Amino acid sequence: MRDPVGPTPEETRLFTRTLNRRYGLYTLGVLVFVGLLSALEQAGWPRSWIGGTFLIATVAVYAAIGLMSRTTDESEYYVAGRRVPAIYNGMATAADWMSAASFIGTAGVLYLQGFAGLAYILGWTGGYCLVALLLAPYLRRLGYFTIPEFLGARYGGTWPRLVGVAAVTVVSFVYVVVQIYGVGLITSHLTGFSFEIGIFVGLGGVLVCSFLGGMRAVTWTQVAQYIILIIAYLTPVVWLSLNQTGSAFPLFSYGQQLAHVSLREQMLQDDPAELAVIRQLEVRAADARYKLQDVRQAMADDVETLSAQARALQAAEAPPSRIQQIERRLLTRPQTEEEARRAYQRDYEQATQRARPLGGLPPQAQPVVAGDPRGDAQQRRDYEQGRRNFLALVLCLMLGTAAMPHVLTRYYTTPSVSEARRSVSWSLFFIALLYLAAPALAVMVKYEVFTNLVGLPFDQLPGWIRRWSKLDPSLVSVEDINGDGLLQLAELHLGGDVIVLAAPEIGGLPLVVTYLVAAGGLAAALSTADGLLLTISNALSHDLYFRFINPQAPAMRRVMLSKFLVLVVALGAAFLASMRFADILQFVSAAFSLAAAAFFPALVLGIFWQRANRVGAVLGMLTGLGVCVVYMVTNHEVLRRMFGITRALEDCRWWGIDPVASGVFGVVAGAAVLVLASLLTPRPGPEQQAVIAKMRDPLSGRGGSGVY
Amino acid sequence: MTATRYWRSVRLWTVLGLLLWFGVTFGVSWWAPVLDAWRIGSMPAGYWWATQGAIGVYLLIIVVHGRAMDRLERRESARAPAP
Repeated sequence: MRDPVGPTPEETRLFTRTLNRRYGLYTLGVLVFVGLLSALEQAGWPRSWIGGTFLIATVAVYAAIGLMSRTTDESEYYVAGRRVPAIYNGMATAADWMSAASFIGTAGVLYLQGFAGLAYILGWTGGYCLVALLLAPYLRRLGYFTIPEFLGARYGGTWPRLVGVAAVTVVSFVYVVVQIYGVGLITSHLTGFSFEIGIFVGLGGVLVCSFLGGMRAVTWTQVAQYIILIIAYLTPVVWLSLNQTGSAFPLFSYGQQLAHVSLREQMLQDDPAELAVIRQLEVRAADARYKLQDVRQAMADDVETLSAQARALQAAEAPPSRIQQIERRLLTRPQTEEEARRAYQRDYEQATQRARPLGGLPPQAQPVVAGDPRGDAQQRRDYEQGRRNFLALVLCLMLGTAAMPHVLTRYYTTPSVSEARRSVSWSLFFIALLYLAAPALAVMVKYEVFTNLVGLPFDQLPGWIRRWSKLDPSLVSVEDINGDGLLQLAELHLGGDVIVLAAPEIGGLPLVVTYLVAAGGLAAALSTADGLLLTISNALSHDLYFRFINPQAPAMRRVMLSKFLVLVVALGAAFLASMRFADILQFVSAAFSLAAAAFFPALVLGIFWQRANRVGAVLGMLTGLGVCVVYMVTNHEVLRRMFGITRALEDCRWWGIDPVASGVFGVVAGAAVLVLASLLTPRPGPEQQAVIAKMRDPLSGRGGSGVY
Repeated sequence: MTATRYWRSVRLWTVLGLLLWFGVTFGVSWWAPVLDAWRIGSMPAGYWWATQGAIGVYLLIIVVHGRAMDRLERRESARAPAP
């Protein structure tokens, strides 16, 4: 039997002091490195060298930490020897937790959706209350290696553990594909490599780490990655705040920027030039809709109009660049009817989307945008639905947070139950540093765009617009729609992913900061990918192979198998990510719903309700997952198309909840089935009762005092 | 039985924490438009609670709950000294 007793408090204190010294030096090293590069930038180093140095140096550091922490010892490999002090586990959890989506996406969502985006801030922080109150201390008290192992011990038998393995694999795999996609995106932005090469370069860094040293290496790399990512995130926020308000504390100073932004929003809404652009866009939308009615005819008309334009320009001896532009459009026009239909559909959607006030950005500080509580019946319904969806998404993200296997496993690594609890506080603290800064960043970038960018003549636009629109027009594009030579808000399109990555350039900060931010995003994506890969491969090797296929396998063989699986899973995920599914980021929230529905009821009721038994747990988990998947398939645009669902969308909706939050239904259904099925079948046996008793024993898992 | 008394206190603290957690979450999500009638600093109160206030309360819940649990565990181990 493994010994869940960690080191004594004295040992932990000494170890913490060593760590303080090491990571203190490391942080100093990072700052010196950034300072050095900024000096080299002054001395005239080219862009690509600075970007490449950032990429190579950071990945090399992560790999070096991984190499130094290599191990084949079972307890070190699975739970880092249970020696990680609360504060350092907090940092590692924060890096494990904050993915590419958190780092790059959150501020972008807040910029694009305003208040509605705050659901992510609330959900991704409040979930830690559930982790601390309901899960982490009890999981640590039992002292296992994985989540399926807990399910197996608490409920007994084969099925709970098997279903657990399946759910861990599905949830984490969906999530890891998205991370690797993020790695590819950032690496190609840093270096100018192609996306596919970017994926495999970044992957090298992940693999060296989790492959050689398992949880031990991942833990110490994640701490290093947290330090980089938080420096990278806070630097532009503080800098922008200094530039805009003169205060080095954005948290207290961005309120006034929010007020400025709100004022400016009102002005822009009634601005005649903006209204002119909106009218032009409405004409375009109507035009596209008309073309969609008879695609074949519209294609022929297009050719004719373009040729006529080219002839007219030639006759008028217009500048050759304008003529070439028309000819290029003629050459690249859609060839088949299907292509043309899609192009018109896209034109229609884009034009309608952007023909709304403020270019489709809702007012930054307004809580519920749709409808009006004092309006007619339809408006009241829209309003109700708006805030109902907000609440559902918040709850779904919280439940998902509390059920993400790769985060829960982190609390197995602390020296004692008490340290596990303290470590959750530290996790939330370190996570909150970023999530408190994200709304400030969104508001300050918006201020910059609204006051300094909008209204500029097109030939004086800053360089970042040209560079990003060349890199990816879906992220940044500008077009002089009303032909007045000035940029209106409705003529500028900024994608969500660009807000953080381009924030330093938007605010006019030095180039080094741009690359620092990219390196931070890379750290966020790599650290999460590390944790996820390890969770999947541990579930497969420890819970599937060791428990069911070869129980006699020696510890060494299991660790080797786990390492091999890391490699296989990583390559599989990289392959999927390199196929570049268009809507990949939407699947992040799917992972949260799935995790919540599969694990939350079984874990929490398993800890707090003695009567919960095996049949209940298995049926509850399967029902939760099933309900969640069915709701997503019948309600999500992309999945509906994929599965050919023809039933009207309104008939598939339950209480008007969006598929993003399908986890709330999964959790409720799963919990109900778990309770019912448990009550209809016999109580848990004596072995399971013993597990429950141990979970509730205040004397177990206290750490190295030897009491056990 | 000390174990059951310990567990009763654990449950009580946990339920209290969850009530506060749910109250804040629901309050901020549901009544943000109403809260906006007030201002905190230069921000509308609903916006302030959703971006800063709620996170502070969440952190407070975890820290206080953790302290209470530590105290309960210390009391139990004093009652039943290690063999």
